Amino acid sequence: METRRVYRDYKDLKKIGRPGVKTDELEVAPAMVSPMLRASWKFARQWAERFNQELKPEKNRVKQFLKALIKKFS
Amino acid sequence: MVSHKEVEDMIINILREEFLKCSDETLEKYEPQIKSTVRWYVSTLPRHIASSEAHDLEAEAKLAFMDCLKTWDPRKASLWTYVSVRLKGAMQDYLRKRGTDPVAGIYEYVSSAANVYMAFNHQSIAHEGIDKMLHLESAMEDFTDKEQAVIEGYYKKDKTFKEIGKDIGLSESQVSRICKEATMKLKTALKNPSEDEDEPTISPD
Repeated sequence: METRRVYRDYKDLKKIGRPGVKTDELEVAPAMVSPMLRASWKFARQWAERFNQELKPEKNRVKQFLKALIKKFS
Repeated sequence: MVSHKEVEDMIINILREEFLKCSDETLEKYEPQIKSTVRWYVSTLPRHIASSEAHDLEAEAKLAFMDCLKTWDPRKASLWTYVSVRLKGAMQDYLRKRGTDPVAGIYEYVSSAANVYMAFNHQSIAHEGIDKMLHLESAMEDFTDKEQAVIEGYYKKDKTFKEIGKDIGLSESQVSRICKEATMKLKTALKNPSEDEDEPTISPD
């Protein structure tokens, strides 16, 4: 009997998480993101956080930055 | 085919565009640091420039800060590291454009202060003597036409010996010799204004 692999890597499985375990929603690229951006998602997230650091700490704009990225890449 | 580097550049550019939309927040966040940089820079300026330009310099620094946000690359350096270097340059450029460059200002300040010092501290020197010390023209009255032309051309008009030579019809080496002699005469005349009249003038060849 053959075993079919669902996930390429164990890390991917870890990122998606398991039912009942909370994960950072920005850690994985959301669905419908272009493959080009998906490939550099970690980079995009890292620099969005870096830009966010230079703004006032009261408001977190990482999500806003990433949304703009997704829009531009789609 | 888009390379990995190009995609990263695109991401940075898009993020920067979004970041610039909130640039007011960044300015507000860094305002105390900008102000302290301006205060430090103003403290290094002569008083007469510092008092009149302090306000404008702060505005100029803020404009420079906003410009820096447009070109800042977070992969190369942190924002403040990048900005702090450019703020000083922007303020210097502003003063240079306004014609109140600290170097030129200091020169004027020192020369006027030196004149006042000389006028007040050489009380033993007669009034005519002081006049000779302060005004080069009067000290050069005894000079020949060629000597005057060389001194004026070299020290006032910043000409080269070759250019002066062309003007008065002498060779470069002759002009150099006349300039050296005239400078020596001028120095003695300024040091001893009263003895100057008795000394025989050295005529150029």
